[in-house]
Amino acid sequence: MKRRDPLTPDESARLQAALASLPPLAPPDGWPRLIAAYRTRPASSARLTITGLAAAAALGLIALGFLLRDFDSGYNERVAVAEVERLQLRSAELEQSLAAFPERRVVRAGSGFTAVTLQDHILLVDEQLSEPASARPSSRTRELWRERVALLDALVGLRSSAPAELTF
Amino acid sequence: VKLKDFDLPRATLAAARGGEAWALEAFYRGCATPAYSLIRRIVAGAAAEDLLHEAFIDAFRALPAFDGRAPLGVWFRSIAVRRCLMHLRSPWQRSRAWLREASLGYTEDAPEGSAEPPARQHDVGARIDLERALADLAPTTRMVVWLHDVEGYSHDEIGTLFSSTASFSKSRLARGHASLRASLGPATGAEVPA
Repeated sequence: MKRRDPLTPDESARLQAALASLPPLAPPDGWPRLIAAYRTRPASSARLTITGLAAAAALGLIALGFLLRDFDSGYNERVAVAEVERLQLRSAELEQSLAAFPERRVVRAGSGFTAVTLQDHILLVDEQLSEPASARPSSRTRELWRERVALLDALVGLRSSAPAELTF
Repeated sequence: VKLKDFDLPRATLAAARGGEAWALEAFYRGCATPAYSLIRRIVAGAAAEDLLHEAFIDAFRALPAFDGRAPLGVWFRSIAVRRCLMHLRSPWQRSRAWLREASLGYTEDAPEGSAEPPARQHDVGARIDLERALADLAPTTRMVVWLHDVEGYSHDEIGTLFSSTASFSKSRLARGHASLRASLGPATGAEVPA
């Protein structure tokens, strides 16, 4: 029978101390990608502000709206392409991780259901990605790849999580 | 270095506000690891890298408006936490969390641990158990536990963050603690890492 009563102050203090003592996690070096993404937008934004003000004076708010839309679509296009390349790499890494798990593992019914659901979602995403890229906006392609990476990550997490869930 | 303790020298901060790359990099290098640790423990997935990237982009753009009344790390932490919250509230993440909780046999309303607590080992093993137990909490509960116990947020601050009350934070924290104890301890759930 599991206890449902609140933790005692001593238990809380020990739990807090244990959580606080977990080691820091270092991220992969994201600086090059970060500064590239930042440099693209503010520089263009500054130009857009000047251009936009001049356009507002000369052409009015409607013309400015068109300029903003054009700027955003051009910027988004570049960011989406770069992001898709990164997501494709990440996707390949996760697939390699999945391939490293033994084939003979049998999972609990609950975990098995989740794994099958995730695999079904991946198939659906792959089906959409298999259509010609020109048939959809690049932002949609990016969303699909993001979803694929998230699904693969969940699948890797499921297969590598609590050993108690897995039997051989 | 904890995020709440991080700050930049005044000259570096001024250069960062002006968008100079060397100063922005100093900001990134100083905050990346503690911010990633925070994000990774809250969202527990590969999305952490993207969220870190987006949090820095948000911060770089907002730097000119940073008033400097609090340390830079405290300000950046609020941006990172907001990013995590947006992520956890997305429809996709909510359905994914539900799937995971269903597979573990508990839901947001009854977050008891899995049927068999993982085998406990000391030191590294205990840390791994704790990481796993933390990752197995429902996302909202995990965020409340981490913000309160590690980042030092008050219940009022957490309640405000979730557009709720301090009571919401207290009940989620109690639920999270009970679930961690159940996952980490023996069947009685009496044991918490020493």
